[in-house]
Amino acid sequence: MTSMTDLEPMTARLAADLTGTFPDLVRELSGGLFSGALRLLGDRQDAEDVTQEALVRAYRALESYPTDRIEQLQLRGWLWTITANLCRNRLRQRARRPTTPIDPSIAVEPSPGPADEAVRSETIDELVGHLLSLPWPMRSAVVLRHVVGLGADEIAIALDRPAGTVRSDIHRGLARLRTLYTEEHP
Amino acid sequence: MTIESDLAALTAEPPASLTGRVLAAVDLADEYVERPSPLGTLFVAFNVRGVCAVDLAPNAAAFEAAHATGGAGPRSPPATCPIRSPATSTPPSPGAIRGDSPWI
Repeated sequence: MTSMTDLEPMTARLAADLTGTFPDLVRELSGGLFSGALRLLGDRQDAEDVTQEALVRAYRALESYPTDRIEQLQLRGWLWTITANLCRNRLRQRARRPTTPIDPSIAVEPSPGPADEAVRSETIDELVGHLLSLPWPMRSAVVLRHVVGLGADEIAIALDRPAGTVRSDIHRGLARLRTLYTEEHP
Repeated sequence: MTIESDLAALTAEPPASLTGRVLAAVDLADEYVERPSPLGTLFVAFNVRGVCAVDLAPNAAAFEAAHATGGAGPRSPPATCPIRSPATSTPPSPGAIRGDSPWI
């Protein structure tokens, strides 16, 4: 998992050579952005669209920033500010349209295997469903912490909430997920 | 298994084409086609601004190596940076110079 410290040289490289470094940023960070967007939105096509749009917007913004501002960016938190806003907008748009059932194939990568694998896959499917049932503040905090791997300080930047609130949302979100799981598996 | 480890397992691979599409959208991806010519294999690289490189090379790897320019050149492999097929290119307009290139 890429840590914030690992990305510090990338901000310096972006500041010095944006066009040369941006492809590396895309290759390195698009997986995390896509995974998070997928779990926030529950739709693979929407996640693709949001990830692409977020990276394009990031590049346009970086083009306009002075180098010292780029050097001081907390890159993942900043990228997730853009991505989380796009996810929220996408959810709002979707709420105004007729609902589409969540595609169960997005839950896990298909993996033929023994019976215990099938049971585990079912558990993961349930988890994906429960995650999508959480209110946005908890869902976004839990996904960014435990699926994407951001720290609380990065999530605070991404979601524009105090770090203490983020920690509380993560804690309450995990508690809610455990409760939902226990209710289905008494 | 804890719920935290189950959540960590929810990562997913983005489609292979995503990087190429992002770089193309911000004009950082060059694509290229190769065409046979009497002089050898001709490589023509282009991006949204138009043709950016024309060169002869023994193979695609040699062309990519010669034109790699720190991310702005045609260094992306075809798998992540789709190459436009000449068959889908705009046909020559009447009066255009005749040739084997899809652009003229």
